[in-house]
Amino acid sequence: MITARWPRSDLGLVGALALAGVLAAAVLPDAIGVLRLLIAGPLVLALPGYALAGAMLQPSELRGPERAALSVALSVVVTIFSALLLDAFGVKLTLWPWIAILAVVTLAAAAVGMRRGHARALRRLNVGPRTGEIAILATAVVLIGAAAAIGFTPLSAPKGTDTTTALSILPTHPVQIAVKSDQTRATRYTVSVSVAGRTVRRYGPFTLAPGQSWTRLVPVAGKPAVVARLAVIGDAAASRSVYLGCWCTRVRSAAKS
Amino acid sequence: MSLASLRTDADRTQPIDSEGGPAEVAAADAPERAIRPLCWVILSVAFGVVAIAVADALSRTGHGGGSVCFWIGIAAIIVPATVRMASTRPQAGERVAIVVLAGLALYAVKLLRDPFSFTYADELVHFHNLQAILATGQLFGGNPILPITPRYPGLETTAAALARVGGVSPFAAAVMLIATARAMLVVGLYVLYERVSGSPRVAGLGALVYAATPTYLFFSAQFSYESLALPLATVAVFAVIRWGTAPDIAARRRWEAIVLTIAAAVVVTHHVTAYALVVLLAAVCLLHWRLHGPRGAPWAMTVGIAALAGSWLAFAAGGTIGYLRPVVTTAFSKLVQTINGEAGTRILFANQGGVETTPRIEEGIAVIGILVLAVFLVVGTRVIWQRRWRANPLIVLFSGAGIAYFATLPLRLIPAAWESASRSGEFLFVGVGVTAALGMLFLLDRGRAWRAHLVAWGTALVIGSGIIAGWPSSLRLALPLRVSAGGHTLESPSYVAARWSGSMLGPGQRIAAEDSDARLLLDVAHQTALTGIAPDVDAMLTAKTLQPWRRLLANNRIALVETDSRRISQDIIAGYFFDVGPTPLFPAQAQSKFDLPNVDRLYDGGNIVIYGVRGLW
Repeated sequence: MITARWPRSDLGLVGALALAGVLAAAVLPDAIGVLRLLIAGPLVLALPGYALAGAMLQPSELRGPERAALSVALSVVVTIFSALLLDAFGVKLTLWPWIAILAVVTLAAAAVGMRRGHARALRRLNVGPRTGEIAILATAVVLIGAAAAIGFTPLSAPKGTDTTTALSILPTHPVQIAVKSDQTRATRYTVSVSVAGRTVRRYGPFTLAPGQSWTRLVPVAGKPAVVARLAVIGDAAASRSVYLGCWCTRVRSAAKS
Repeated sequence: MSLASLRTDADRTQPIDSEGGPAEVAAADAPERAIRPLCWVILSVAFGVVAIAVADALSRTGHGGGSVCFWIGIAAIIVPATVRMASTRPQAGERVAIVVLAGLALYAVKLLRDPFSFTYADELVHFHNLQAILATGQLFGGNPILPITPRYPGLETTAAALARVGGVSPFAAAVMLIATARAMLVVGLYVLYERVSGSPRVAGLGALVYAATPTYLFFSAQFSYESLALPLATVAVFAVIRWGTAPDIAARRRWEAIVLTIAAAVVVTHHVTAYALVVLLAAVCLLHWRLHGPRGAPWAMTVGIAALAGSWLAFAAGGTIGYLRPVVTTAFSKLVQTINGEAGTRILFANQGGVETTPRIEEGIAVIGILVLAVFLVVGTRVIWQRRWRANPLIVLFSGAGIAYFATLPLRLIPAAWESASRSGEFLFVGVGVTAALGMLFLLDRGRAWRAHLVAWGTALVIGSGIIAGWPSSLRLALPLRVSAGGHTLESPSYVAARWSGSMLGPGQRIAAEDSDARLLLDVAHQTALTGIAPDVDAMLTAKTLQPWRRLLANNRIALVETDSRRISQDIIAGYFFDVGPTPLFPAQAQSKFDLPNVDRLYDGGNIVIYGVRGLW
């Protein structure tokens, strides 16, 4: 049997990391999510399972990869069943109930494991990379960074991409008419609005840059038929039209007005 | 009594060669020397990931050469890893590091294809469930597109916990979870194969060969319940082996508890994986009974897991049978029709509609890869037979799974059975991996050093074959979803329409739309999106007249209809992106039939139009 004092044992480290995770979840804002994920994420994906495996099994029963696989699997198990339990008791799955269960399970299991003498002494890794190896690894990190930069950056559209402009109307008082240009270059438009068959407004020509929006409010009395037409200067085929025929669409309160 | 027949070479402390004897211990690198080759493998994998990123970038911007970069990247990830794995020198830790590296790098291929948001049909459905848990703090919400999915909340629950605790976006949490699941899968396979074969070399090669599963690169990497359930099930099977080889009753009880707990998580995560686990354990029991008598088989665990799966089915997920039944019955009836010559066969190496196809040269490579895999399997089965491992029910089952995998290949010619055959591959390949690895090792140890390279390229060929068979060539690389123009980022028209409906009309609207549009309305706009055939929204949207469908609108209280004149909007894999060049359209009447006086035409984006149709009820 391997015994180790808690500050220098694997289960002691697990307990400390669990407390650090709780602290990170409490203190670090979402804005620095990557840092918080690095510190608190193991509380969901690794620590409860590691502690449970440590509580249930003697250190000699598991090899390293087996311990790793069990740690993740049992952590997922704890996360899933803690959620089912909370939901069954009508507790909302917000941060604190969840983190409380995960931390309690982790700390309790780590304590049981240490009490049973299952804690393993921490050892230094017997790996000392040389300069050449560090250079290789640094190159690999740069390559992965380059891959992420290329992969996560929006690039220019291929030739012949079918971009669009959207014209919309909302059945509100006043009526809201909007244009959103998702063309790849600045484009000129005109908009005309008619109420009960009579043209009451003409807008433009106006120019919208890629991604830019244009909105106007048109006051109307009652629920007359309202029609808006969009023309794209230099592209007659790209016209749009919207109308309120029945005023029967409900705009929900969560929508932006 | 323990399951003694599961005791193979599990407790060996030294690696074995293909003959089952201890390998030269001196051949293994000391830890301080082992890092150099591993560094080169890491560098090669990193280069492979960059090549894949460049391939996707070329594809997204409409340039050629993407496919070449893609295959260079795949080779850079697989070949050096396999060459090193085939060697006798790496220690177990290095082997595990290599399989995790390769597993995560191949997951990066999927991530780099869809770096901004999910675009696979199932993951959009599951992502809605995740968002619902985060929004309401409750499980078992509704899902109008795939109602059964919220009844299996394991995946979404874990992702929600990660998003809450880690303070990251739902998308980032989901990606992180699937990456972790992928690492768990490859490590789970490694420890399973190591316990079954007693050889770290077989374990490492087997875990690498598993990447040849046709669904591994893309389908199994999506944010879907099976992507988490299968890794959990793999670890559960490993724990069953440990139960079988436990030295005393107390240890056996502990392993039994571990198996049942993990299996319970599988049960609440994915139906088919849970049933596959029960079938596997039942087969182990029966085979053990046949070979060694009834005592010592995992009967109690099998019954326990079956009871858990049955209880969940009865009390929490009653709709599962109704969901799975049509898949099985349609596949069977189409199989019979095809055999009788009453129905045509499916185009191989194409998507479901046969629209997206694969170049001839790739088809040839796929066929050669399957033949190479068959050779590995035949040799591996022979090794199992000759080594008297035929007394071990699990390894016999794994070998049988290899044969079963080849038996399912003709089903890929049947349109309705194709999906079932493809999905079963993920489970059967657990057996294929270890059997093929045994065959590879046998061939390796009989040749000269250069054979390691031959086997490595053979493995790359087998994995390449799986990639080709699993996903049409034209959908393998990234398509334009977000583009940059004038310093702004533009989204595809489908996304723009979905965002408009969510932000301007508010969430929770009942809206009918084509299959791909409906998934975006569900996820991006949080609408109650209806699509598919129940109710028959697909037929309503493509019909030229509206009159027969007014009752459908009223009965389902459909307030909005989004029409999309592009035929590709029915494609749940390719329908979300910008169209490049001319795109086939539905007849104009399909859209214009809603242009009626008692309708609000609210949004006109060209091909996509949104109508308010309460006036038609």
